[in-house]
Amino acid sequence: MNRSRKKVYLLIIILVAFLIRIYNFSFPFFTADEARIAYRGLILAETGRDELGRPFPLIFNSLEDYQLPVTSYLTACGILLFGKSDFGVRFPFIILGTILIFLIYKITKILAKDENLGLVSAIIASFSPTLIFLSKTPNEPIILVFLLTLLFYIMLQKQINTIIFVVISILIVFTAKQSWLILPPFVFTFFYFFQEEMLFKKKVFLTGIVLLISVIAFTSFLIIPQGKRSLMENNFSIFDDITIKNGITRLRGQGIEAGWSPLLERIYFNKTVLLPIGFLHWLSNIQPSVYFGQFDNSGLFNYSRIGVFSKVLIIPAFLGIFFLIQEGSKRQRFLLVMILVVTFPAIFIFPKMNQLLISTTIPFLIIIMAFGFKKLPKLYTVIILLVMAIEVIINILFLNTEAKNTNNLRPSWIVPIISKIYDVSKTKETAVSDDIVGDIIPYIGWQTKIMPDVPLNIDNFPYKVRQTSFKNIVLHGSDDKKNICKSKKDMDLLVSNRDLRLIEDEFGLQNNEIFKDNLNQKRATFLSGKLCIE
Amino acid sequence: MKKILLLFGIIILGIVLRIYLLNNFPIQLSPDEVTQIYDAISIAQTGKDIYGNSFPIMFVSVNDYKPPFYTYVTSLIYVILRNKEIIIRIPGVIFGILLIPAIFFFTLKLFNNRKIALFSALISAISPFEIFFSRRSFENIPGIFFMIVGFALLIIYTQKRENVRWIYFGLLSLILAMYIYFSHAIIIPILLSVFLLIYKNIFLISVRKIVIPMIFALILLLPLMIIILTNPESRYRSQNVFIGQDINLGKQIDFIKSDNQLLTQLLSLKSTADFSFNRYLKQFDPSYLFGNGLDMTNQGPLGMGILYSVQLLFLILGIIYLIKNNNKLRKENLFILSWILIGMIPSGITFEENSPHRSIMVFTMFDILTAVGIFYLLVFVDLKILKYKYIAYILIICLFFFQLIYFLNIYFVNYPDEKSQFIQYPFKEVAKFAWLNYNNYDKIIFDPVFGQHAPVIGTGVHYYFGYYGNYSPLKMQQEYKIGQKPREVIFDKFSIRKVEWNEDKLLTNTLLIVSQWSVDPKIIKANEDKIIKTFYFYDHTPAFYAISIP
Repeated sequence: MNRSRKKVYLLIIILVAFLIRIYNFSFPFFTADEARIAYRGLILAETGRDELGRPFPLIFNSLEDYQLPVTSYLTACGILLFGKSDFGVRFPFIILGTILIFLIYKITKILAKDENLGLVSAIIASFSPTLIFLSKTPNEPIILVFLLTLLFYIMLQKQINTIIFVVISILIVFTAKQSWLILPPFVFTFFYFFQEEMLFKKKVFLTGIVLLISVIAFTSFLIIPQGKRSLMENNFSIFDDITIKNGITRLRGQGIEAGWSPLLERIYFNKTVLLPIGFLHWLSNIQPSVYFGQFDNSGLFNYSRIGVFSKVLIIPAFLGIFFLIQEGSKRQRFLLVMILVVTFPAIFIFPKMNQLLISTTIPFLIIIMAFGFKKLPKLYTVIILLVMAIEVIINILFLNTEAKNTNNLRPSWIVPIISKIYDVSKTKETAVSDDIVGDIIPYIGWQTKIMPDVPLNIDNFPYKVRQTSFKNIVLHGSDDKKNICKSKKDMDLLVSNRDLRLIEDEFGLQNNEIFKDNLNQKRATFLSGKLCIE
Repeated sequence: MKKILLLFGIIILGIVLRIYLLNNFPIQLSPDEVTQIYDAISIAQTGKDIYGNSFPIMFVSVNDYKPPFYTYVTSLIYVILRNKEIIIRIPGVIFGILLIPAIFFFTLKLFNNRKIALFSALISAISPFEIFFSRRSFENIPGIFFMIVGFALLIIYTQKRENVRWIYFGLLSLILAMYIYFSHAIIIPILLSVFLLIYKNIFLISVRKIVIPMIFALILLLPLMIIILTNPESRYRSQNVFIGQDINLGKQIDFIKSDNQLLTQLLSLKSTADFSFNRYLKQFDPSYLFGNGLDMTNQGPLGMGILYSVQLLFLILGIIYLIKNNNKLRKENLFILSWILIGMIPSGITFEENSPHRSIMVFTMFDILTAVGIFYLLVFVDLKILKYKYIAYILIICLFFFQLIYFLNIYFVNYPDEKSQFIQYPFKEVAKFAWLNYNNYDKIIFDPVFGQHAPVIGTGVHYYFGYYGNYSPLKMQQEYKIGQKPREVIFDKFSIRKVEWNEDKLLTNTLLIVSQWSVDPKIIKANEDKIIKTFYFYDHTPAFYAISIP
């Protein structure tokens, strides 16, 4: 195969990857968090403020945790370029996902010194369900994966451009909190395996820079009033895990009660158990079932019933590991080490799996798989890649199940409800039950594109923010009493089953407009001017 | 000589760990044990199980259709030792002990390396899963014993090709393993085919030599195949444990349903395959293997893995060693890999999230790989840092000793406290109490709904009552019947069923044994004066109340 033909192949692969990512553009429907980022991007693009009215902030808020800025600003860029549409929001991520394939190709080519393996890795990346999925929504993982891969590529060059290196590093630490723990060991490990010719001083300098950037980001975050709490709850949750704490006390107590030496019990059951628990949890994050079985059953980071890769790729993955251990050079074995290095913060994030960290291993694993194909005859390579493509395409084509699996997380059925709320709230106050979905305000904001009243009266760094009103719309929370304000003028209500159950008997509320979800279950009922809820 | 002594010492260690306080730990006979021991006694005394089936090939038991081996062996032991609770645990322990030299033998033949073989035997002797399952009556331990011996004998043939008797003995042992544990009936033929494929150059040279033993094996297997393929009970058991029973998979398939029948069927098939593959891979979860896979506590990640956590390091080293020496050990590597991949299949296609008892053969291989890892480390130390050789030995021994004590602590202290409900503790005490009061009441009613945190329905209750009352199996065969009331089983004056307080309180001269899940705790409190005994779980929380209705 001559080089120009290979370039054509690469172009075709990238084009196919782009088409796969752009196909069925509206899928997946945004989660509340993604809708929030989309809406925030819109407001940032139009007013330079976020949804809480703060001008160009570096820390954003959500229902779960603080959010770092890169994702939101990248979304804003998409909206600036392509207008206030789903396309504008998704497009930057599709572009990142597509360029990522090129980067993986280039890195494989450098490490394997084999263009064919580069092409194979590009094909695998194009058809990775997780990479496809993450390229279609505004999210941190795809940016982090992209930036880390880009940094890796830049570092593989004979001359590392310090400015580009620093800029990418800064972008990485502003993308996701986990990166603060990943970046320094990533760079350190890289220099252990690569760049033998580089001056030791330069290696120390570059490692020092990323360490400094990470430490600054980390300590700055700690200054935020609820920063420490946010880290403990979301990034170091193992130290806060009540099951482990209680378990230690309970098991130790049972031993002492049974007459075993208290000292022995203390030796076996104490806080050092966090170490093996965290360690095993870390390894569980990178177990084969995550990559080839099921990556994320919630449907947040992937199609809910498939792994990071098609099942059949488990063959080249193990052959690749086999190859690297048996025949791989020191530089090639870096790939194996890297999978451990970039996921090690998972030790602290117990008991949840951390899909963001796992995502960062995808490029490395793809390259390992490419090495695995070295061990296979061409025919087998073709068959495996074909089976892979077929499986992924089936998953992409038949999404009916996916919509049902993610009925609550990605409530595509919310659109007519939002339209209704928007229509009725134009003229009068509207009350909406707050459990129709987990967090409805971001959907209202994004779907209706209403600009918020700014600035909202909140402090600068609120943690876990939940808006309860928006223009003429008021959210109604859970209550075991019927708080009917009979004295006031009746309002329009969009009530969930929870609230409807409280009032329907007494008021005989029948024949109202109802809204159903993807499982054909009633989710909301519209009551026009019948009651007033306070 | 030194090595033989070492092996002997290892076996002694294995014996101690398997028989120490065997009568008391596990703290009570589990439903599986009590059903098998009572059926074994029934067979020994009458030639029938307690339902009157003559020499059954599958035991109805509690409608779970148990394979016959364990019950028949126990009935033989019963004939020799008479009735003691411990007899049900003896076959498991014997085969658990025999497994240690069997693994030594197998590893020795596979790697031709005495050190690795000795390390394998040592790991096997102290292995948590082997001790755990050997002390429970479970047919998987005898099954794996015969499987290991069978393949070891076949490996001998590949090395000493002239003597065909190794093939005969090997196949015979494998067939025994298949009869003992039905899941082996699927696994062994697959693994054997792969084995023959790996060593095809040896077996093809002497096709004539293997044809007759193969025919002999097929003839011996014929009855088993007939049982598996035609016996409705055997099929019922298979269907009952198949992955299709999984609720989550069922939900998935429900979601797929559409007007297009063909598409629905194809997608359902794909969904089942995806689900099964994922379950299969999950059996390799490190937290399960090295963290809490034996499910001995209720404290989340705190517990005991199938393997010691320190084994992880040596397991990785073992794998690296084998990969690095792949040129020399190509066939052995392929066989080990096939063993692991094929051995996990049963866990991948059954409905339980994790079923360690179905994957014992894989864990045994992990023990062997651990031994390879230890060997590799010591070779490395020998080569590179000789002066630290003894430190390395001591360190490895300390690590395993530390973990062994941890396991024993969990096994003897925490496990009974945490999981007494799972072996239906205190059903033995309930049964004995009922018999103690046999003459004081016209009727004794027991509702086996119980639980420490949530209600579950106890199984095999009539077995507990029959066995602990020394109730003649012959009489049980005549008396046992299904009653009219919900879940009702009747024999003699015992009725095991759902208690309806409002009706049952009107009975006369009746002993009611209920829990807070079967009768409202407020009612139990209001009738405190009628409670003649409270039964407790092992952790001293109340399990049942015996209420006397005058």
